[in-house]
Amino acid sequence: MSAIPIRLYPEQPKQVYLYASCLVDMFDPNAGIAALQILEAQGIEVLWLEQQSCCGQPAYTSGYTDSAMKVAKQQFELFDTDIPVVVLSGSCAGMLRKHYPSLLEKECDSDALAKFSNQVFEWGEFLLNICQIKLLDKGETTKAVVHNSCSARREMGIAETTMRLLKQMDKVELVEPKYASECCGFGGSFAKRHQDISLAMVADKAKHLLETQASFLLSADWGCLLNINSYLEQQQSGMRGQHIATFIWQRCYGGEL
Amino acid sequence: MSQHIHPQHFKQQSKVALADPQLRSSFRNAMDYLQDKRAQSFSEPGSFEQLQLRGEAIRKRCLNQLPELLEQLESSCTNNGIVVHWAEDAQQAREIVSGILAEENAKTVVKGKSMLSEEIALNEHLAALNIECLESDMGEYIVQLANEAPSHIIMPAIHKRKQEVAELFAKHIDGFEYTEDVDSLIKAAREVLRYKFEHADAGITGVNFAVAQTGTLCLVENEGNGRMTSTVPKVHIALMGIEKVVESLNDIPPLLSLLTRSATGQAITTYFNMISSPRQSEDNDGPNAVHLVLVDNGRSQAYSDERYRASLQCIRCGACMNHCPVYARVGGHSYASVYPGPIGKIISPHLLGLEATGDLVTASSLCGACESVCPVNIPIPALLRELRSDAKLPSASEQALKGQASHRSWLEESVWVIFRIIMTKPVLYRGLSFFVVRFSFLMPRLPAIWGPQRSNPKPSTKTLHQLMRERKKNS
Amino acid sequence: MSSKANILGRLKSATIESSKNSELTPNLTSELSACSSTFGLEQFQQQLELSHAEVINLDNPNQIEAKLKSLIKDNAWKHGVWSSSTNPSRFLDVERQLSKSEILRQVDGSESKADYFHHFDFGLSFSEAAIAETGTIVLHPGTNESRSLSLIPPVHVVIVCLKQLHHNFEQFMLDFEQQGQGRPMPSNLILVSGPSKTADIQQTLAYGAHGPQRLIVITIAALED
Repeated sequence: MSAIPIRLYPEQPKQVYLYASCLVDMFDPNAGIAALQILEAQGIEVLWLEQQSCCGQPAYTSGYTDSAMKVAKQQFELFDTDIPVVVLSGSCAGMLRKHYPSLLEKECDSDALAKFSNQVFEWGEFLLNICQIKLLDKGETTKAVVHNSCSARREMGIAETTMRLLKQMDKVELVEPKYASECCGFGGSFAKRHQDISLAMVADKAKHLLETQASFLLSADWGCLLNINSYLEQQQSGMRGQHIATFIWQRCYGGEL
Repeated sequence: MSQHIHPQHFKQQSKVALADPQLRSSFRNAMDYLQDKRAQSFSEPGSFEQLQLRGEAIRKRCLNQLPELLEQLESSCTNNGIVVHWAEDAQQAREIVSGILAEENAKTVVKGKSMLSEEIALNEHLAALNIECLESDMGEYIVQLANEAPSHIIMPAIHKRKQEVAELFAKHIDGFEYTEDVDSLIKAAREVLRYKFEHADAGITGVNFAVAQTGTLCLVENEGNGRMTSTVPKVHIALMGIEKVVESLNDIPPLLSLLTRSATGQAITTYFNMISSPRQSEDNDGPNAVHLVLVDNGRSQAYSDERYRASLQCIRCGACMNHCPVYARVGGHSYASVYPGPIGKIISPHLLGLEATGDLVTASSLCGACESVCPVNIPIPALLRELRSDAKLPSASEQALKGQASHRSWLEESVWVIFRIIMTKPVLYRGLSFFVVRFSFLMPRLPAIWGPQRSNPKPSTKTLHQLMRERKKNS
Repeated sequence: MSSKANILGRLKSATIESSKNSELTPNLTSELSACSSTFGLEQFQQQLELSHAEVINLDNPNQIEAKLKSLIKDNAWKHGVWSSSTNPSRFLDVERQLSKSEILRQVDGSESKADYFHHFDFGLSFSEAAIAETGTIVLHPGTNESRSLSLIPPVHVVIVCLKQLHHNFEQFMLDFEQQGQGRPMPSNLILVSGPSKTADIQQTLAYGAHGPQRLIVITIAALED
């Protein structure tokens, strides 16, 4: 992808949709609650759509375009109000923002798709650039390493945004792992279909993350975390990745979820 | 050359490569080196994007008028005295080359680096005709001695350590005194190859760009073997994929700059060789005859599909493989296709059909590193996704890609139909996800979903949907 | 049907709406002057030296003879081959001296391959054009010069006139096209940016892969047109 166009951000809205992703729904619902509460703390009313399931990306990247399209259509049609859709994953945000318009080209109105695409924001991106959030770090001094997903980095162009958001916590030293921009080896069905290659990738990723000796591993994408954590757990490492929303909530807003 | 391996066995081949720590470190080191060199050469902010925009525009414009430019190229070359041949497939291309060699009574051939000659398996063909065809690019020479295929399109012997090269030379070069000193190794090969250049009957090279307006063939290289091959023997045969034609001389500088900076981080290569005719009466030397073989071999198939045409923009710099986390780990040979790495994944289906290359198109996490460094902005991940989709099409359509629908599997398809049903029925989705978290404790006991070295992901004890309901109830 | 007709037929039948693409075509020359900073000898020399070439700067053509003599002596060269400049008026005196030299032979097309491979220690030629940005000399073998001269002997000495220093390859190409309007391209036009090299063994740079191990560039500052 050539240079990602500079995005112009609107004023902070009164209402937003929260799109949690199926992975947060099933694997880390507390991150969803944290994300929601932080949004509410900005004075925003968060709309939760009970009918949200999955963005369809797994089918899409596996080449099952038709299944992906039907899922995408059902999800897209849920968002009938023209307000921001705040997504708890760079990868799902990329799917909604960058791929829905072409995937649903023949099924849905192109103006509506363009409007929708323009309303899709990744959660951290939304907080930093639209809410202009100022985080007040109440935690202890610590060291954290961040893994940005490839979609966040190369599709959404928000890897730096996430870092800027986290840097606001002045007692957290952010350390950069070696090969920071390299993929963790998740890639949806790739991790299953080409397990050996995926394993080699995640093993290297884990090695570089552990080498930083950080106390926390943070990511804005549960896809990567699912992969990295599964590897770390099997290796009986003490490190376990968590969503940035959980980390921010715990340090800046007061405690447990 | 490495007849046993085939793209269909990619999984097994990559498994072997992954288990070879020496190979892994050879590739990792080489990739680090090449990534670093490229980054340095585009260190000025925006310099890459600006040049990329122009490169992409030039390639797109030229491809849009491809048939016309090819006809113009043929007529310009013919006017200049270059004989132009057309080959629809590999076999025709091979026969054209051996036909020319027979006519010239050529028995020994030196070859400059040409991936297209690998693509049409020229060496094997000539060997069968008792024509010696010696690779003269240092890397190609090394892999030829080892009876292997190139593992990288720019640095063919990237998988070999100098010790292995020294052993090869000791085995094959008479009078070679064993040394692992790279300067001495190059000197030894230089001596062998200079003798061959001096006595070869014909030279074969590839073409990096051909200029339609002037009938000019451009060769990009550092070693000088391309110049030797196209200068010293009495016949020069240039092999070119039909997509490589550009309109005018002015299209060349931006593309050359993109090519050398993306490939090896060089502002320019040592030699940029522009050949527009055989030796003229006033020239002091040069070949008496120059032949240009234009090869299709699946390219027109890619051309005819709006999505895949972009793959023909490629200028063969290798940056995509240099930045690919999969390539860095499995190496070039695992792909067993002439063009490895990300670009290989999207052009091999047109050369070999999707049936043979189905595993190649899925062997990517779609991380997009390739696309982010592509000098002509080929949307490689998007094309991979399209190829995955085509591999599973229900039936071959009219403008079928070879092997379309070949990777349809009833079982896999059912999985995604079920996925669709669940995800589009919110009640069903919530019910099922409730079931998943309810029985999450069973996950570790299920068969390992992604191998024994990663535990099965463990769902939470409640879904976010449940938590949200509870929250609503409480407020 | 011929292969040509089949290939072109397939390509021509593959008409794709290309409106999107044609919009993308920018004016190629518009950013020409905007792309680089420093210009001139310094950059030219710096780039050449980065590529492992040896650069000798002379103030005027009269110094060439002495310089060549010392090069020949220092390197113990026994046989050289030289070609005259395509613009002889510029280097008339130099060429007169060269033609008197006992160890130098002027290209006349009678040299054999063996001469180039085994006899000549160095080749000497004049360059009509050079490119600063990449440290590149442009060779134009033809009537006076042979292709082999700059390729096969182990050393290539090239005399460059600074009046012909182009900013970058793009500008050279534009000038070249303008000057050569209508004329066919020369059989061979070569850009050289250093001695022959390779990094094909374990990314270790080695010079003198197939072509010259050394490239000696002599620049002359005070040449009048």
